[in-house]
Amino acid sequence: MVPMIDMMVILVFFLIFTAVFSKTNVLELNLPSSTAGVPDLPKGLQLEVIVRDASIDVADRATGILQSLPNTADGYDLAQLGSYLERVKAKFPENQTATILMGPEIPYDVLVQVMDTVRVRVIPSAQQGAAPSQAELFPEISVGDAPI
Amino acid sequence: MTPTRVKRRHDRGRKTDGHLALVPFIDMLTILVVFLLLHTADVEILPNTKNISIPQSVSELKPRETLVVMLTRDMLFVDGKPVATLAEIQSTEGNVIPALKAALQGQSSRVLQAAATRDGDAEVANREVTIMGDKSTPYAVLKKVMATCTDADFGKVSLAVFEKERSGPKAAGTTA
Repeated sequence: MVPMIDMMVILVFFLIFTAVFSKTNVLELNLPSSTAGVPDLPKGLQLEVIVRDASIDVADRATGILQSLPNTADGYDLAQLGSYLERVKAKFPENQTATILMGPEIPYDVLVQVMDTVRVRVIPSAQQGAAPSQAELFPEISVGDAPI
Repeated sequence: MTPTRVKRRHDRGRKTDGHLALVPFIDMLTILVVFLLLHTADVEILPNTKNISIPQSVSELKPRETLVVMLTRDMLFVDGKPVATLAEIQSTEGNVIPALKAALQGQSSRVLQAAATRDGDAEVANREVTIMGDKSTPYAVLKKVMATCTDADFGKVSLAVFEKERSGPKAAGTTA
């Protein structure tokens, strides 16, 4: 009995010290390869989300800015961006791609938050405590420089 | 009462007092061991991130075995080895960081072998790299790192993120 307990105590300590309690995942980017030739120009909507210092602009490459969302007191207005993109998705359900254009001084954290908002929309579940579900918006994301 | 009976009762009492309750203790340990074993079951692919804070995301994509480029507040590491400082990157002209490109191409043969054993035939333009960046990294630096990765034929770039608590207040905040 006692040797077994000894062994278990050692095991517990070993596992506690090696345990990692934060899970890391990855986000995939859709970057053009530098060796690729002229890409096929897609027709229809080419969605661009331009992140500037003071606002987020949603634009189409051909027609220009569709909606400008100025910052709120707590930073970028991701909630508004999410609901606007949802309406865009309702109109263009075939569209899967979006480009996020960033200003040079925007921190990396903002890129990930905007990517999350553009990729999926989290729908809170009706029941209390149940896990929220996700709806796909524009999961294929490219990243580029914001025009001045 | 006879003296012997008194003595025996006294003995028994002392024994239960000083005795550790072993069975509940073992139960507890077993539960702990099983819990911890289940939590360490999935092998950690990405290195741990004590000295940088990477952003949180709702992404559920699991990391794969790839080359890791780590961007801390002041240094750039490839596969754990320091390559350039952030100041050097910021002062670099153009989009390609020469030191990072050299380091990535030095990695190529090893990563290519791993990819070849996994897929059968390796496609050079589709090699993968995972970028772990600190939250505060400015986009100008990140852009140079990503441009260098694609320039060194690492076509698939992933960003490492922490899993966000699903029902936490933060997750609810992004849905509102």
